[in-house]
Amino acid sequence: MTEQETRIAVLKIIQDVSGLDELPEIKGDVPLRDQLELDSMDFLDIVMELRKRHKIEVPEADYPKLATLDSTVTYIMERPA
Amino acid sequence: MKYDVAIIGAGPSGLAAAARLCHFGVKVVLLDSHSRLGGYNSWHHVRGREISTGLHAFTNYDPNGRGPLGRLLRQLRLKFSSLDLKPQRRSTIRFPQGTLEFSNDHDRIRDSLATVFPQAVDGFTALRARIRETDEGEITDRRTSARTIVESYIPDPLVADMLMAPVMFYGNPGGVGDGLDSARIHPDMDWLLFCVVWKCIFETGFSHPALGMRPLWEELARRIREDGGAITMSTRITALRTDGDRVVAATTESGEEIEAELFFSSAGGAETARLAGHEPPDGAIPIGPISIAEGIGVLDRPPASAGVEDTTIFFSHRERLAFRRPDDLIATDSGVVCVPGNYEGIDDPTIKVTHLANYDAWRCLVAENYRAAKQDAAAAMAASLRRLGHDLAPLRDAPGRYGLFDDMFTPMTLERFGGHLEGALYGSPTKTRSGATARKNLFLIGTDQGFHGIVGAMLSGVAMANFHCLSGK
Repeated sequence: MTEQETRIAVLKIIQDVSGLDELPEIKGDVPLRDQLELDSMDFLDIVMELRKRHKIEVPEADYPKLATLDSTVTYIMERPA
Repeated sequence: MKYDVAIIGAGPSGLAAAARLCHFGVKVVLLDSHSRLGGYNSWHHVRGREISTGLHAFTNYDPNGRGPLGRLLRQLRLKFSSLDLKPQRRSTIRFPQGTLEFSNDHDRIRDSLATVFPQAVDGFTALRARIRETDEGEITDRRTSARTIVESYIPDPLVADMLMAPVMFYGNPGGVGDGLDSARIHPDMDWLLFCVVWKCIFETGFSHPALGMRPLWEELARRIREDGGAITMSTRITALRTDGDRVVAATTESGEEIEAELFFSSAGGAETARLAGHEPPDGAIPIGPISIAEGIGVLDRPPASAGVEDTTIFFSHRERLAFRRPDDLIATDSGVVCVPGNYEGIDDPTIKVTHLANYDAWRCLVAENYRAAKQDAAAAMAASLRRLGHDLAPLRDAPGRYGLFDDMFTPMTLERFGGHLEGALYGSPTKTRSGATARKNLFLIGTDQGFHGIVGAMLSGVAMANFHCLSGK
């Protein structure tokens, strides 16, 4: 996936997990939990949806790297293939 | 065929757990002895009209879908709008000493208190602040008396009883065996559970899905099947076959064995221990003592036109609330009236009256006496309504029937269709927050895992699915 495709895929997951019909404007460098009503269970869901939809495995130690939209996209782009 | 997870009970917790697991590709079978989904919160037909069973209030209502309800919806990928929740109009707590009103406007109960018992307002405000600050999620075996804490803020026991009544009726599994002094005359419950139920009632709100719970259960069932899960109704599980400290298979009534790696059970703590052939130490998981009889009446006009404007009435005909298993068939001195037609935008001519009931007294009745007992209970329920100022006429389309409440649930009905021993309404007084049982791969979900109400039961299924299955995958 290109960076743009990755960003769209991550946003789609965030939208589905947050249960919103429409996502508000997401600032890429601000923690997602400051912008959306998401708790730790929801963050686990983002990880699980990444695995389910895109076969992307995120080990627990790397969860902090998924704090913002930008850091999530970077993490996915830079992970070893 | 071996499953990843076998789930006993297609009520709120089992359906939610199954939907959650199937969404992530876990191979699930959901089993229930009854032919209809929903457990206690199912449906049946009264004079050609489909009526929700169990459901009085879908609590935790938040118009913006926040709090426990929002968490649940997100975890199940459900839209708030898909539930089509209709908020309550107004409910009352009616005792001889006065009437308190509350609604989904959280200030209303305080304002009502200020009018009727002005001396209690400051205490109430402090109590409410304490409840709001209490994190009832912390897992603890320590039991604290809710009454002691409530009365430290509301010293007048007549006011304390009134404020405690809705919490008692909508979530007290009973005092026996919970470490509190069960000999106490006045009802009590565990403080943390009290806070859970209080928040369901007074800090969020009451609502009612426009068409009852059935559409939600059917939607979850559809998704479960679509995601490859199996749902097997009308199949009673009679035993869980174990090998050492693990469950190997669930055995059905007809002797079929259903194998799985993990087992979830919403049957209840004591019930599940029995299925697994594990008798816990005496009193470790007692059977819940609180059960009810509920009469369902169909009026000849909308309830509001018949003068019943409340959504729910929590009443006591005595100044002090009696909340315990009664000595007689039913306790006529207190109860709950539920009027689905008094949720905003719901057209429903039914009215339900609930009294606490004694399982043993109902169980020992033979057939004709059982019918007569129901008839007496129906008369008592109509009398309760009259004492509240509502003399109602039933829909007169059924000659030979004996009154307004000829359709009735008793503890026997609850036991038979809900699967909880002795028709325990809120399960055992002993809750197991971890879901763990004496078998390593068998976990409790639903009421005995300690969440509360329909939203709580579903969150229980979701949480146990997350902790015991999905997080390790």
